[in-house]
Amino acid sequence: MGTNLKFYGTNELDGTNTSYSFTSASASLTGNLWDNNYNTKILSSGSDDLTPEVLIFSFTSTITIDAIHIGNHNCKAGDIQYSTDNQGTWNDFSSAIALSNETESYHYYTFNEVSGITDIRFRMNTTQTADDEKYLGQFRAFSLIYEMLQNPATDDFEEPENSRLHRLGDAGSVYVFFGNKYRNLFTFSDATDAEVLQLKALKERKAPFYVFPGGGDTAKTQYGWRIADMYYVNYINAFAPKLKQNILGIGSIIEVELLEA
Amino acid sequence: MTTLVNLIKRNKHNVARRLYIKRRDLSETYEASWVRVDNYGNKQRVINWGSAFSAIDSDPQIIGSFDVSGISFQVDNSEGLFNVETYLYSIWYPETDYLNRRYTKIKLETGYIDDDGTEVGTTVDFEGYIDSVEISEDYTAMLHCLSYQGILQRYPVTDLSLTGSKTVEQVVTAIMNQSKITDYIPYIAPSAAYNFTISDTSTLEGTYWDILTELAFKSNSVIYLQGSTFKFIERTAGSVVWNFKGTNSLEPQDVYSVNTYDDEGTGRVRVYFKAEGLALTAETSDTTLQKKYKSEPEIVNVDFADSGDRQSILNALLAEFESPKPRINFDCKFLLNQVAPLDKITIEIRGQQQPGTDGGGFIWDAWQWDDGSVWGREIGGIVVSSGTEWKVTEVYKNFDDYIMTISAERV
Repeated sequence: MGTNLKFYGTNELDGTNTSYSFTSASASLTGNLWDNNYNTKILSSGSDDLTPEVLIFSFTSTITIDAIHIGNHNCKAGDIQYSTDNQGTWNDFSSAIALSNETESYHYYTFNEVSGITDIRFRMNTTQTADDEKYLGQFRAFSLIYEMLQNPATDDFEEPENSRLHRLGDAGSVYVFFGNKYRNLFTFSDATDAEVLQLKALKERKAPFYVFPGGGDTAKTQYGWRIADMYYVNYINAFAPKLKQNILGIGSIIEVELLEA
Repeated sequence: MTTLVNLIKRNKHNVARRLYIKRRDLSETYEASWVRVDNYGNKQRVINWGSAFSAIDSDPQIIGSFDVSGISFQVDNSEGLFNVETYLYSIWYPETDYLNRRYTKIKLETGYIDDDGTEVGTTVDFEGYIDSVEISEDYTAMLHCLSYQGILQRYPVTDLSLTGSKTVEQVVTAIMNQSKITDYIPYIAPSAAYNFTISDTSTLEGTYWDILTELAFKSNSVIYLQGSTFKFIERTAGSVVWNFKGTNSLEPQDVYSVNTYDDEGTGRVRVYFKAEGLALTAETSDTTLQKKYKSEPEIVNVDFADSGDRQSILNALLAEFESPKPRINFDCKFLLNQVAPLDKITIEIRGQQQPGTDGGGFIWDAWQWDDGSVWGREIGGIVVSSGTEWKVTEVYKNFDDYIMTISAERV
């Protein structure tokens, strides 16, 4: 798999098909793992580097995935495995996921597609600061929809916000901030027929999806293109591929506007 | 953790808002825990948070008015979460578990978020019940909600089958201390300013709310309904809870604009009360007030009170309303529950300081001493000193823009 802009499907962790078992973290906070908010976390209680925090996600209906993305964690050493027989045996993915001496908070793993998964287990053994309580902000397990053959020629990134600006008698301002979300306008200036069809399918998709602009390339460090920068979005502008230079047969230009759901 | 007051006073507000419901089962029992709906299914559902107010004596012309508004929330209904209980994806589904959306309890919590991401001052800013749900084709829905005032407007006082003579407090207790009311509003014993006796309670007519408001007015008391807190108490302002700073104040400001300022308060002055159909009156003995405000008498029906109480009722009303009280209405920062009706506040709004040669309106420290400047004076139509106290009569909260509008009268 390459490192171009990718689109991923729905996170298999949710509130209906998934049940959760944690060593010590509160079971009432499971929603924090799939709410697309890195700042809401689950947190162990009484854990240290001798006491692993084991997170098990069990699926009522089996799932099929080929990637995992974890966000805002402090795990230094641990692993992620899956089971297809209700925790009878635990298996490594085709590229085994083993965290070792980690210093980063965001990780992305790809592997050969696995179907029939009944459970996923994340063992957090030690923390990046020794003996800290273990925390995790997001856990995403999903399948690739499509990877673009080329990255966009341009993007127009912003974080539109919901806010109010009130003025005081002395012309001072009070800025009330409610929240902000991700928006980008990607221009694919050389899209192939296959890419255009894939974007059409994305437009007709009945649910939001994830956009991963950086595609998992750890060399990309610009904001909006990092490992951490994965967004749950809707494709909101009209599907409108244009002939490149008004000539048939040499590709298309298409703008894709994505707004965080 | 930053204090709530400091978070309000500084000019960048990070806010928290949450919406909860409690559904009824088939036996009309409310579920034990509140269910959060603003982020149901980990997706934001509220499009517009609406606005609501609570008012005591707020009408500029009518005395003895009490009102607690409802509120309407606009929500995302693309998944049919707010549809009728027979709809598969409705939050009220299945209809074998829950009754309908109407009379579902609903509450709105608000708060501020400090630098550490910790919520500070979280409070229930509205609590009531869903009256109706309006579904739109644009995949939204409007939840039209009423305060618990609506519950008190549902029942006629005749269903209490009251008989004989009772005091104001006894009637209020009979209304408020029964399960169909305490299901929504916990009972708090009333404390009327003038606890007169009603001769024959079987003659009382109207809804519970009609009776409560009438008794409050005639006993010189007020109804305080904030969320699920109901009090029947004297019209006495509490202590100063907030010192508002407006235009030209030398301190950090929190007033956005003054909408209206009645520097006399003429509309609510009553110097002459008369009992309806009886030869009982109460009239001010202040000749200046008579000259300024004498007009047709305010007619008050006191038939249901004991004959010995009727004159006292008129006298108490006269004492409350004979003197004019300036009134002000202004927009300000969102204060959560820091300011409520009956609270005392101060407001400082200064005029523009200008040099004047006539020596009038000297302002200490307005100018550099000994620099040759003349004494300063203050100009402007609205100049309110921080030394005067005001009683809050209405608090209007816009939860969508996070702004409050306060009405107050001079104490």
